[in-house]
Amino acid sequence: MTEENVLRDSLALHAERRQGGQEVLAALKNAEPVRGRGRTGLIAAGALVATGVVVAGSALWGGGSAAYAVTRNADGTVTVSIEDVAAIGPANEELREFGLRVKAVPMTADCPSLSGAGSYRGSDWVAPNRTGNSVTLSPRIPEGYTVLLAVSRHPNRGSGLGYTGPVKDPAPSCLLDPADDPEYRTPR
Amino acid sequence: MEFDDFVADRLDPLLRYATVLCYDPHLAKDVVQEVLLRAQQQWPRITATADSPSAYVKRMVTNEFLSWRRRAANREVGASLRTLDELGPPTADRTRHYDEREDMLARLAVLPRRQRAALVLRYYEGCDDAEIAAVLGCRPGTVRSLVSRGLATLRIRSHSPADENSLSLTKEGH
Repeated sequence: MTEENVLRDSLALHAERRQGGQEVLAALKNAEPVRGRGRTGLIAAGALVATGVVVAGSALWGGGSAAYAVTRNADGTVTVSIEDVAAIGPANEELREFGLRVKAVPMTADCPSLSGAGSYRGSDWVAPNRTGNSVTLSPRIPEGYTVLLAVSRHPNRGSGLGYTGPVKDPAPSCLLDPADDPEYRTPR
Repeated sequence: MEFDDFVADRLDPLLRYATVLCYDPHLAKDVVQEVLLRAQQQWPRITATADSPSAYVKRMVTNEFLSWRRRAANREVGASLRTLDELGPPTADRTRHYDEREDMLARLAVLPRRQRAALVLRYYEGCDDAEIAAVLGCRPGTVRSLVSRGLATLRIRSHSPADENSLSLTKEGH
């Protein structure tokens, strides 16, 4: 056996010494009130019935399709889709009119990282729910905090619309694109 | 993919990777836990923007390992010494049936962190120079140097001409 193969074997052997999987799962479960947005399902898709209160951006950005849409649903939630960072301003105006503590912001390469920003620690808020290219938001967001909708500048990157949990006001005006986050050094 | 599904699928491979990276299984658990808690918080953003959430989180683990050791050097040293003591001295006599793989692990444990990360990515994850460079945030030439230096410390003769050339250049540079 070559020395390189001994090294490979040694690493494989040592990997078997992993431990603490259950502890990690327990920590993730305990953190759910803070970070449970991904697992939600608090808003059943079938319960969303549009009431006709729809505000949609016009074809300012070409193609004839709306660059954004803000729709109030019968259950009080609001469904948002934003297809272009240029639509962030008008979309935010509509969100403010609906009284939601939600702010759409662009993801940029030079924005400070959100890490360390004050995240809400309680569980008395309803997580957003993403369906396709839209995100449905509950008005139940704690006072003094804002849920951020992250709009990607780059095409063909998933839905192009992400969201955060409630972050302490004043809400930032941008989010650091993970692809440009030095903390993670994601390759471009 | 929902975060719960990701964890169910990737927790064990991440723990294995972190264990060989950190050497200390306790530290590896802490690193993975810290990363997953952060990933859970940012999951919608990660899935919306990262081409491969799995690769993305693995990079997070690598960088957490590198920064964790910088932040908690005292703790890390203590943990490594404890683990080394459990394994026995690095120069243990083979006639005492000291497994050569344990000997290799003991030597691997004292490598500088970036060298160790490069070797783990090469020999455990099977990454090429470009992939390692992407994870470590450096150039492929730097990766070759890290791997060569690490192998030299481990007293391993690589069968890759690129590694040998890199080591020669490094030595000539001094």
